[in-house]
Amino acid sequence: MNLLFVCCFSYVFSFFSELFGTRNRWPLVIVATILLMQKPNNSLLPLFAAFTSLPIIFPKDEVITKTALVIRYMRYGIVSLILAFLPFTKFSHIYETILFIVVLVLFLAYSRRFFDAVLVCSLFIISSILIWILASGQGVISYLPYLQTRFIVSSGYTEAMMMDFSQSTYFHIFILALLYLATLGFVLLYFLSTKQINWVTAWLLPLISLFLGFKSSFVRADVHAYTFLGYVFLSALYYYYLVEFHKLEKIDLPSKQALVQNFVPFLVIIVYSAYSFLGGKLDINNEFLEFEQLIKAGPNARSYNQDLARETLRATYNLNPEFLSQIDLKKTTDIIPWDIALLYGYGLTWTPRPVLQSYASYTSELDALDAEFFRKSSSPEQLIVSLSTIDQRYILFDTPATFRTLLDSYEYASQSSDGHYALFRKKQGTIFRDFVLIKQNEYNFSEKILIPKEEHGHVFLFTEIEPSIIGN
Amino acid sequence: MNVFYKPTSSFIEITLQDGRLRRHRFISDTGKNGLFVSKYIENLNDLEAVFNESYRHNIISVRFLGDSGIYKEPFKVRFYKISYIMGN
Repeated sequence: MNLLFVCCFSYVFSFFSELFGTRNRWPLVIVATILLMQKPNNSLLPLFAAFTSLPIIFPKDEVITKTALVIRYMRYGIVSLILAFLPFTKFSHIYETILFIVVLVLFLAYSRRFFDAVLVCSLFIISSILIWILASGQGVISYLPYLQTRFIVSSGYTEAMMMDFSQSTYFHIFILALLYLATLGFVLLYFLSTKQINWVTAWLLPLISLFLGFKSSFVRADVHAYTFLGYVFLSALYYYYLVEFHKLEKIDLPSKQALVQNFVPFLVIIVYSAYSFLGGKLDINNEFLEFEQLIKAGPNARSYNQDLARETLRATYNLNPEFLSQIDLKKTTDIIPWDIALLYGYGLTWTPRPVLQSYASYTSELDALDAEFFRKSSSPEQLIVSLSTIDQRYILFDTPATFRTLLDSYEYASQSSDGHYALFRKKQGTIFRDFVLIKQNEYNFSEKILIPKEEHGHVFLFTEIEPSIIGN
Repeated sequence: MNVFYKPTSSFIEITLQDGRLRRHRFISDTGKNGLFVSKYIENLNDLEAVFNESYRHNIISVRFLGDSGIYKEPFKVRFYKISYIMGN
């Protein structure tokens, strides 16, 4: 990820250095350096992609020579490649990527650069498919189902992962949201007042990223909402001083230049220093080899770090020997709901289900994917299960179809002495049982629904609670 | 609401045979896949009993709690049964 950041910034930096002249280069260096010093955050990636797309919005008034055309098409290629890479870093970035492409293509069409619009669109599609083939090792045909699944994951995120604000945090978050909207709105109004479609479009891209990034932290009602506000201020400042630079090239007032060169980077430093105080900095304190030590340790360094990681994980999970002896290390294994590091720590052969951790099975479709996986003959031969879940949920209702499939295809074997993990083994000659309808009715919220008594079978309740127009 | 803000949380409240109530956050869409409502699982021993079909049904009723502005009402509820393999 760091490499991607460096590439993006080098590219954006070189473009703006070229656009605004070389003498004002150092503030850009400061901004880029400060950003690079931060811990990479995948919520920031779309922001960088937005900055990287700027060369499309601000083409130089160059004489169209062969070299100039080649440079322009290379820029399109780089932007398309970065945008195509974006959805592979996080499921929800698919929305940002598509919105970016739509905005860019509409802008190019509005500017009557129709060939460029088609070219950017085509390069993006080709890049996406190429990255998919290289990254996944799978064919083109499997790309569409993958794309579909990414939309399913993203569509279910808000309802599944949302947290209510506590009374104490509600006020703070509300103020943050107002600040956030005011900053974004102010910058948008500022660009609209310039009556230049380039600047409005240029701000629309980070605005999309900033809104979606802030929203995901707003949904979780967590500290990231605070840190993300730092990115909003930073972006606003970044754009503000780019506009000022743009003016300076024409007006050339030394006092304005001094202000922009000294004051704005100073503010950026303040905002980004505050970032770590606001809880965004990760405290990494481990015993793993640092880069320099890795170089000195030579070829054994990788296995040293792996052994150390396994040792740390075993100390953390601390499975008792009796339970461990029940697990067949040679057989394929999966773990429910999420402790996949345990499998690595104890050297088990992981056969992962499609949704790797159960809490992330946000929708009925994702649950059905996992259920389908456990129906196959290639499903894991043993399962380690604990009853953990998040946000006051009930684990059996997180993945109901998967649970029903497991009832048919696995049998209980044993459990750890602390009662935290149970081991299940795959049944031989599984028979998947059919449902029999017992009763049906319609209900409203808060209405008591009596469970029918059926002593010789498991009872399942199916609901069809659909969001209203407002809820969508 | 879902795109620009977020819906209010919905919950399921489970009444057990001994009168205890259990309340959990509930993702409405997963209800389409069939919630196991014969027994409330509190620990791994309960889970073992369900897999071995050697448990007593202990859920009397459930109530869904949600915002009628966010979700459509009334909603359908269907109960299905799967017979035990061991025939207990």
